[in-house]
Amino acid sequence: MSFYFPVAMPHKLCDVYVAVPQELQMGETKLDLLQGTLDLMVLQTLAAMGSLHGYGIARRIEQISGDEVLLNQGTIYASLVRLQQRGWIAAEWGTSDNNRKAKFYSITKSGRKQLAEDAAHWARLAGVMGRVLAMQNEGGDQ
Amino acid sequence: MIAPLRRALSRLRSFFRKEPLDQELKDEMASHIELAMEENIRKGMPEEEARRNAMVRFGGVQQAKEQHRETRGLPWMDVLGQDLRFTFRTLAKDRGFTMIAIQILGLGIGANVAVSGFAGNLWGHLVFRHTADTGNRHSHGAGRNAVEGGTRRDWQNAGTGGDRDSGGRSAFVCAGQRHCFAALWDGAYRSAYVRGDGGAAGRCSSACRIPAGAPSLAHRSDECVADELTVGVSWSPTLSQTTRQDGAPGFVLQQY
Repeated sequence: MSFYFPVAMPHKLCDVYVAVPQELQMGETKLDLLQGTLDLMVLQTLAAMGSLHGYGIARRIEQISGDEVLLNQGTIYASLVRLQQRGWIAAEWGTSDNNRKAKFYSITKSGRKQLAEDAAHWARLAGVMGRVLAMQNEGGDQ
Repeated sequence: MIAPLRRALSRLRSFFRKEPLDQELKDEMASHIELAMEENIRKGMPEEEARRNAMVRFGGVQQAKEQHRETRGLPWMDVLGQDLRFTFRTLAKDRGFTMIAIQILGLGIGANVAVSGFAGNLWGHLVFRHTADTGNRHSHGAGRNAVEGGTRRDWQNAGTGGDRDSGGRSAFVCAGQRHCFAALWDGAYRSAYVRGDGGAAGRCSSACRIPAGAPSLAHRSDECVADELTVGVSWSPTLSQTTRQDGAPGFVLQQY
């Protein structure tokens, strides 16, 4: 086993790549996610897709966003644990389509309630931002 | 109310299940990478390329683990634990320094305790001034004439010279003495019972006597006028002074 870094990291995945900013990789700028939006995206994805594993959720969000958001897929796990702690999603180990062991998440009843609230709030906020940003120059051409 | 409690509990549980949860996360991340790799391979990437791409899209593994730990557990407890371990390791390494530090601390604390104990004792023997007005919310006019000074020793002397209560314990009896107030307010005696016919006020037909510590009083506390007061230990009533009809000072027990 070879070490690319001075610290010994326990996991075999760790010995090559650490965070490489995606901008550098992709050569284009992506949208940074606003605080709290990831949780809402995860909730909505689970509500729409039923039971999914972490990778599935991340993949789905990327697809829906048309690859426009900067999503380090790893950050989804913090979001998942947060949602679990609040009782909005539940998790259990299962097997994926191609027979891989994976942890599957699904939305709970209180999660659906929360989703409805958050979605309404988000829609309101987006509406306001849209109106403000669509403001025309009404004060003459000074 | 329930939601924060639930989150706190969940965090606490996670704090004590660090190893299994870490292992679970590790498994989950491994399965994540494998799923991503498989998808890449299906798209026609060579295996090494597929793995690389999966890793890049995952982002920092260590960072994700950290985030996960911070979100699920009690990060401040982790930091505290680390600090404590570091402290003890450092102390254990430098024995000489540790010994000297402990001795100095011990000396400082010991000296402080000794001095404050001594000073407290001394204070108790010093003359105190106490008017009935300060400690007695319901004092009647007579309160103004209440004792102005005395020392704790006076009460104690009086106590040893006093008679004994029915239990045979030495009790401090001060018949008609206002000094008793000062003793009570001072906290020198924590218990008291009031004896006396109180007949002058016509409220206590017989001896008005409150056993130490007993909350049940035959007479209504606020009506008990006594001409004799006995104080003992572990009970702290509120008293006020009154003047009996014959002009002698008496005590009214207001709260017990």
